[in-house]
Amino acid sequence: MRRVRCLLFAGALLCAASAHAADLGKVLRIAFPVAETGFDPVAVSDLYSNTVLDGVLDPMLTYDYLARPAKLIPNTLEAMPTVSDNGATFTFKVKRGIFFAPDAAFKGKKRELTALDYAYSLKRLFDPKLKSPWLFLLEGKIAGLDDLMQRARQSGKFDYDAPVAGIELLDAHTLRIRLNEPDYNLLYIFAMPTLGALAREVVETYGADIGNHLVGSGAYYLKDWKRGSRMLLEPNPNYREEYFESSAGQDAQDAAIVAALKGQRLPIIGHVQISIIEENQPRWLEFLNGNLDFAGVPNEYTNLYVPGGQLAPSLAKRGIALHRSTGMSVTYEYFNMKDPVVGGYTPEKVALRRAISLAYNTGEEILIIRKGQAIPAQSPVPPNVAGYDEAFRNPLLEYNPAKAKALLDQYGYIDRNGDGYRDLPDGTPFELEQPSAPTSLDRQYDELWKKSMNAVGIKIRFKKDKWPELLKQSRAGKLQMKGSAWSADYPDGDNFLQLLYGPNGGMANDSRFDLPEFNELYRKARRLPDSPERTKLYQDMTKYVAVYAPWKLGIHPIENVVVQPWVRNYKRNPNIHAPWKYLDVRK
Amino acid sequence: MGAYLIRRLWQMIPTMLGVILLVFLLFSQFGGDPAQVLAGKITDQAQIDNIRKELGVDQPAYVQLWIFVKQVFTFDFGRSWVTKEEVSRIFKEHAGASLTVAVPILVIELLLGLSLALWVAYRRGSLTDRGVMIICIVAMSISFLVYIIAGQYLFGFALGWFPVQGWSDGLWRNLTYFAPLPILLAVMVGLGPTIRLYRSVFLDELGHDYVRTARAKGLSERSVMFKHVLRNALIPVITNVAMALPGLVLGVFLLERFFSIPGLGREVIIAVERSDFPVIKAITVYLAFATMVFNLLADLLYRWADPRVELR
Repeated sequence: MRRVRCLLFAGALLCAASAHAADLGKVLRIAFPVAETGFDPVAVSDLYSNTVLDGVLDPMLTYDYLARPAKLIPNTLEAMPTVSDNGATFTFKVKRGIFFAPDAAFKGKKRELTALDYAYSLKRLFDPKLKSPWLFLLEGKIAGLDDLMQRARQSGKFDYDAPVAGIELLDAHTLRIRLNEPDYNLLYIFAMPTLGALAREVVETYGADIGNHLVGSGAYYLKDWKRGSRMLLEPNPNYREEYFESSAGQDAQDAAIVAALKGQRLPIIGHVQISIIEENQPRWLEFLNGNLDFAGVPNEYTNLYVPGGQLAPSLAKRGIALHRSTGMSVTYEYFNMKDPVVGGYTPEKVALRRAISLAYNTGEEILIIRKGQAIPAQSPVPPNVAGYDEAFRNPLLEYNPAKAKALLDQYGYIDRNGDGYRDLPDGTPFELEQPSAPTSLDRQYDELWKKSMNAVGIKIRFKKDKWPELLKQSRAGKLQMKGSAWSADYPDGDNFLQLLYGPNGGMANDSRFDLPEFNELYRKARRLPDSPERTKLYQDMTKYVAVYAPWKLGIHPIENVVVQPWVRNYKRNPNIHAPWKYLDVRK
Repeated sequence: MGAYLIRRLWQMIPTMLGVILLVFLLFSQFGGDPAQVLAGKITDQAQIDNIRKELGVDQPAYVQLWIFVKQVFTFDFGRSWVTKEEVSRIFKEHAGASLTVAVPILVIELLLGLSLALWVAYRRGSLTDRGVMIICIVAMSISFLVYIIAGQYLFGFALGWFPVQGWSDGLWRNLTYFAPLPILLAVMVGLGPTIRLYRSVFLDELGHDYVRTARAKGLSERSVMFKHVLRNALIPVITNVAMALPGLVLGVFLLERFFSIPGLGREVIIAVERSDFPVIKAITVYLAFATMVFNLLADLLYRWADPRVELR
């Protein structure tokens, strides 16, 4: 049976062999620093597996390659979806003539992509057996789907054929999704590889092994895969005729990319060769040897190769280009708002959190620990994300131990028992407890925290435990405070501000910040599309965060990517993990 | 001999049960909750409970222990919690790469170690002996990581004698192109302690009466050293090699990481980082089993090396 499948697959490949226009002689060589975990889109959550999924699967929407800020565009749709019911109903019309890459599961026939594939892939997210880490993106949002999941949790079987009120197929190529309440951010989720289309027969053919059989309708297919070592992608022989479409943005390089790609059929490169190189030194040496076409500059080499944010002359002389951008992520230290010492909304509690924020030396963290490769976070919303306010300056971001001391003195946090550390206003001694994992990096943060807190007379101790255990305690609300980070799932401020929305306490909201004024603004913002009115609401929410200080904001990291001179059309797009189809290699 | 073998194999069962119990207790008490990691960035208790149910970690401890015992005796550890790959397939796909590097390291280190130790023991107290001993001590005092980082930079990048990293599907290409640098570095690190150990063993033998007798009989120095001293020093050598053999199963994980060799050692580190209990369980159990088998093999080789040894 296996042999018959292989023959069918080989036959289908041969039939379709010349359907794409890519040059098979061109190879793009890149490396991942972490091994992939598998290729079931709803089951994997790591960046590198998702990067491959991005190159192989077709979500309904995607991002314009050049536009900044991020702009959603149709991928497999005829046009952008129709939005009705004030953002509660979305209608998607899938283009005809899009085909999956050949696979034995299709029994030698060309298999067209339909709206049914998207409906099926969407339902998979709710199948309890698949334990999807992405469930949170849509949980509670699509009418009837949560009920189906509950029934499956009880019965042990998810009924993919059961009707769901919120998922309606108007015809083979038209899908209508109804939400329980309006949510304009839904469209971002339909641009994620997690919701790329899988064919049901492929999933059913491979069963539990589906993560080892990636079959999509995207520009590339996975030709060869040695798990944890290397992957080779080739153009999908059934790939549709796709031509580059985008207009130049504000960046100087955009015009050159538009000129180079105008009328160009995609993909251009015939092979994408991915190696897993976990350690920074060999990965960097391979780039310097010219064996990798682009690579991130490892933190320990930034002073040497990107001093002061500029490319080192030794690299510039070789024609290597530096692409420097601020990552769509934020780090923060949250305070548990239910903790008897640092939590609460009364003035003296707010003063304590503000004093801690003023006393922590973020500048030293950036300079020493992060080798200058970060900018201070003024707001929970990072740059390049809808709702980011470039002009906003957070008053708590300054490093000012004198002001912190004055604030603590003013609210009665003074040393009453003469042990050299401040006590609570009622005279009770206190110390902060900072959780920390047993890693060398965490030890550097511990030292900085100790130095910063001791400088203003606050005693701090460190609770060492494994990361999963700290995560468990954090979710259970058992930690007083904790350093954390968040990377954008989609480029909208909502994805970050949800972390402070009261009803999300214990799920996304680890600080359990629950301020009615903030919650009301958040609910209002969710009902609005991206607009100046919504941006204003995000800014107002950010001000509440600055005032009540449930977080001590950290940094937004700077990413440095170096690109060899023979790679054309590269532009870092934080929302497109696999920009391969736009790239060209001319040696 | 047959009775001895049966008795030793029989004794492996309680040892194995002890290993199973210890591994189970360690991971159930200190291994952390895998559901917390697998649940993703945002989750609720219902999702965590669902994941625990799907993984089977919500069941009573005795049920989980029984499942573990069955897995060990059927050699079926199920699938990785993270990659969903069959654990047996992980072993099949990665053991070859580990062995490709670890077997040459063991063999080269053994042959070079024995030869050099025999040579410096024969020339005890000479400048050569002192020079080799100083080099051994200096070499032993430097971390393996330094050898790897410096060796990879110097030989792989600056001089270009070897590839910086990489691996292929062909055994010959791996052995002749990708593996030589990691093997060279591992041998450089391992030689110091090996030479010192074997030298002291040979020196001990050289002081025995039978060596004086052999020399008095007029045997050549070659015969004395190779036929008498080496043969009588084999027992500690066999012990040392038997202790190193289980390490072949795991490979040399630092080398595997730095040279991107898709071996089992790297898989173990990844499994530990990801709290991937099925993979860790399987590797721990296989390693314990390999240790017992190699110990038994060493005992049989003692008998071969020294006929006076009785297997009882």
